[in-house]
Amino acid sequence: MLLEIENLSKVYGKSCGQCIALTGDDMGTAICPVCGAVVAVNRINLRVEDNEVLGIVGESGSGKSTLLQLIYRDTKTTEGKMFFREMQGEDGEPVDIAGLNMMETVLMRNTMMAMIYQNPRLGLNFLFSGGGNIAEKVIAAGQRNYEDIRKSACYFFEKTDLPVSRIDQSPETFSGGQQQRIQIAKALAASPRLLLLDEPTTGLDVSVQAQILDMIRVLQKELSFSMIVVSHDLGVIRHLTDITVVMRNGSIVEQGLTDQVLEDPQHVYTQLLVSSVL
Amino acid sequence: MVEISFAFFDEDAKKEIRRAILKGIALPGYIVPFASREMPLARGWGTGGLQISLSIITEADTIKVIDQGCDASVNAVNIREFIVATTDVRATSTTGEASIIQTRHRVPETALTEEQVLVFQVPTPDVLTVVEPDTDKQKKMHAHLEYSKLWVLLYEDTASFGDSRIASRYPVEVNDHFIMDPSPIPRYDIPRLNDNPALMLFGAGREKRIYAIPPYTKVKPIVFDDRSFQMEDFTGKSCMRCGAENVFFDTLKKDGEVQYYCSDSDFCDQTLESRKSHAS
Amino acid sequence: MSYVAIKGGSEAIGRSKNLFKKMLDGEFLLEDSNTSKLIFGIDRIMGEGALYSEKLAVRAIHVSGCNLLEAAFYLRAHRSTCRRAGKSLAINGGEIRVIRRISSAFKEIEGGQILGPSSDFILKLLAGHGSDLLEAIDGGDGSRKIQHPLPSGLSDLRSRGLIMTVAVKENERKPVDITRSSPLPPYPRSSMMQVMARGETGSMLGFAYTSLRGYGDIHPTIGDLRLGMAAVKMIHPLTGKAVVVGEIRVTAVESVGSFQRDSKDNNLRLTSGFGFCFGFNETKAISMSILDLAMSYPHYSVGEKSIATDPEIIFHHIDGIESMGFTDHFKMPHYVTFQADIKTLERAMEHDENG
Repeated sequence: MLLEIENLSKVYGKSCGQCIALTGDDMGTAICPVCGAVVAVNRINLRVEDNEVLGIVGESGSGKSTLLQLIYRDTKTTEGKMFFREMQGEDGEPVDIAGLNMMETVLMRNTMMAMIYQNPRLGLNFLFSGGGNIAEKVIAAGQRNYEDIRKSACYFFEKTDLPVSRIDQSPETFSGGQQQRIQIAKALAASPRLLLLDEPTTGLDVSVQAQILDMIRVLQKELSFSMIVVSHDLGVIRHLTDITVVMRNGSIVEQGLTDQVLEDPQHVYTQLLVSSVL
Repeated sequence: MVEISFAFFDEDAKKEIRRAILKGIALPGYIVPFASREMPLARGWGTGGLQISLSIITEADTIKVIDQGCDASVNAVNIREFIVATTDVRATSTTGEASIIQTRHRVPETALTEEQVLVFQVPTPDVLTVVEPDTDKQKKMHAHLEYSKLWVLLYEDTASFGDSRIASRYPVEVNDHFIMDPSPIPRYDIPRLNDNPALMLFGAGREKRIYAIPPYTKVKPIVFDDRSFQMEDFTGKSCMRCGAENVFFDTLKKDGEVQYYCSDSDFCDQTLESRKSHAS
Repeated sequence: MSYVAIKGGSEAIGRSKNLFKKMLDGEFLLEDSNTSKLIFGIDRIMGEGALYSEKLAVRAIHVSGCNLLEAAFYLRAHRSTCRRAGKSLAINGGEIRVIRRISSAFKEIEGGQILGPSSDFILKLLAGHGSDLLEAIDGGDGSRKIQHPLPSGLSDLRSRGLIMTVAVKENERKPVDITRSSPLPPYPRSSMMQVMARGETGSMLGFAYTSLRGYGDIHPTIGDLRLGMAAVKMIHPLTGKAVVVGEIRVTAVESVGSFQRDSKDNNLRLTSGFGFCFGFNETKAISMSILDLAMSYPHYSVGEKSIATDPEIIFHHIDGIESMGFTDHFKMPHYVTFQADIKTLERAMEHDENG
């Protein structure tokens, strides 16, 4: 088990204390009827195995992106626990990453877990060159040998089909698709066990989308890491994932093998999602 | 008319600044905020160094002030005259005679001793400013020794120009812990901070910060493991006036010719003096 | 032993102070010496007001009660009543008859370091001993014969091809005059320079300072700062020859920034910025050169936020007459709009209650 999420919730705004109990898919709303706070993620339980690719689908506001942000520690957990096997305490047991301090979070992001954002500006430092962005991860992992850092940067540039001749240029000078490739190269440089992808190809050209998805799949098989992919695009989910989780109002309404969920949806909401797209 | 007290400040102000200095010494390279006072000298003209000098000076001290290595520079003269006028202490230009040396942009060529304090004037106290201007974030980055952005900057410059573009103010790691701004001294002076017998104090008046390198502290510039620290190279050059070699030189262009002179004017005088006495 | 060297510095300061005293006694003013102690106020508002007239400047200072923002406004307003008689020829910086010229980039430069009159080394003490530690030294102002044209402190580096030249677009060769047209972005450099030359000293200083403190990454070295008299020349309508119609006090600064790769030929060169204004105003001219440097070479910055590199910020926010006018206008009655604000608040509160 790589990641185990227990009873995870996130409330935005000042909570009245009853918000989590009064919301969720069975209540038909993510907004607390008492105080109006938004419960973006509601008592989620989830497991990710080694080398498994998990997809999360749902309409906007379903809480899928917030879930990803909670795992990556971009936002603070309200309740619940997350055990990430790579992050261990002194006793060698996985620690609850919801309680990590800033330094531990930085360590986790630099060496164990990485995130690909829909907007490359969130994932890349545009004031550093493409190579510099990758170097940042390699340096953070403790490498202090220039030639080795340079080699790593070139290696990941090549791995993600980027022109090495342009390695010293700013991300600004690259196309949208290439910026996503730099993000992926940077993420891989952290040698992650878990890669989080938030709408990684949304907004890109259809042909570019397909190339990037293929590349991600090949890299995942080759370097063997687990992934959680959030997308509203069922095509992306079908292309990349083994397991699919369907979310609405901050809750999981259905989960199973991707083929099964998409071919034979059980929940009415999933049926609606699938039929509206296919 | 109110009489100005010894060394300009009231005693409470000096005590407060000395407390900041002590904290800085206890935590080598750590940046200590202090309530920087308004001086009759403009901010940015050495008020940080001046406040340190005035806070630690006693009647028994001998003061030397240099700018660019030179005692005669107008900035140095101005500060020295002010210190002398408010303390009546002895002023000197001889490095070996001074107990307190206030400097801008240089470390004296003559080796310092345990009896001496070197006071640096600092424009930008936080080394992280080049990668992160927000002082709140800077503080957290120091707390977590999160210096990877500085290394990325070094990587970027190395990739584009073969070496860091930082000519002066080269980042140094102090006591195997904090990375620190050594004030705008040339690279030549960086190795001379290491294991120095003198106490080195750094004052930034405008930015209201003090920090320190205690005597005999390990100080090393940040460089990649497979690269060596590059310095200004004056190999084969000697001073036109005193003939000294292997020191930091000022360059003058005369009739199309580049001429070299010691940047440290006292060192130049001493060398000339000893040459003369040897000759006679 | 080596006090000879120290004495050199003391003497330079003493002479500089003496010249500064002379300046306050009216040495460089055309008007009568009663107003000579106003020289920096006069110079500041002539620059910001974009009208060079000592007589009118003195009057503006008097009628505004020495509110210099407002005094500059008087001059600017007076401009509208003046007919444009013609255009002067461009001033060559080398021809400025300098009274002070320094370079912090080099110990010695061609033509010499000329400290001249300066208050830099006057201790800012109103009372107590030490208020004038170094006596002003008379015995001549130590003036050497200064050869004109006096090259810039950067001319040696420039002749060796080490200073980058800002590329001027073909359609920007003729300078824009912002008093006759309102340029749209991207702002031609000539219009930006004009806006800055008329800019409010304090605002420019503030914006330039952000860049020095890390919001931006400009660490300038002053290659050449000169104060002096510049001859204003015009083409005589009958003879067709250039004639001098008067002299003005000016300040000019060239700053050097970090080196960059020149996109023109991929060679490494130093960047530079220029500042120039009416009158003696060193702070403003230095600030202007920093802003020019920041805007001309914005990509060097590694700080996450940068203000001084943004032409949109600088162009629209450094004019004192404009910023003061708009800020002060909030004193005017606003009860109609404020009533509308209150009504909107009430509707929102009503919505809250019903919601």
